[in-house]
Amino acid sequence: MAISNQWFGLVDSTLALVATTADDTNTAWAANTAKELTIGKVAGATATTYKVPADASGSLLYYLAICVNAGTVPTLAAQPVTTGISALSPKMGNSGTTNATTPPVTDGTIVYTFAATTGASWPFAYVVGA
Amino acid sequence: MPIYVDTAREAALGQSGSGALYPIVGANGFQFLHPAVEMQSTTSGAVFTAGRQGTANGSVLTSQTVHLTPIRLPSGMVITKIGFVSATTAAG
Repeated sequence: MAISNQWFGLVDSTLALVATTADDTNTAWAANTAKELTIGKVAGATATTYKVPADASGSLLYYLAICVNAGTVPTLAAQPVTTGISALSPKMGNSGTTNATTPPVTDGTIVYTFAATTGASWPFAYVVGA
Repeated sequence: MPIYVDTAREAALGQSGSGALYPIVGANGFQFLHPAVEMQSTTSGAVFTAGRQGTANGSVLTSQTVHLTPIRLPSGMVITKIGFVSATTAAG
């Protein structure tokens, strides 16, 4: 099966989904290539940007999310991590299966969970500012 | 968006060995805050990176899963795009 859906997202420190990119549907993804997707939905509405809210510490923890719905998904550029490391805060290298086809709602009602025993990997990812 | 490969820094952090794509950072530098987080200034077009390109590529994804990687972002930053980097091909 070719790729059906591809989207990235922004998950806040409570693991609630707050923003997603547009769905890149069936666009091929070549090896060793960066894929940048533009923000498409924020707080349940169409949007092209997400603004990190104010915080006294000057910064906030987020998680960058990736979902690919395909018969053969790409392996990501990533650093493998062990189960113990992945459980430390901020937790890393974990995944969930909630609403994992098309970009889901972004109003914070979708909250991901970490499996405590999952080791997985720690993919390289980035955000681009305006 | 300026992008370069800082292989010297990669080696200095003990993460050397693989990463033609690690790290992707802006030309105006960054601040190392946490093993999971690298930050640079919030000037226009800034790029904030997280995660690692390690000595082996992780078989991270399975179809219809949502995978998360942590990043710390500055208050007030306006994000326009999110990026990940493939290690193998996915046919369209």
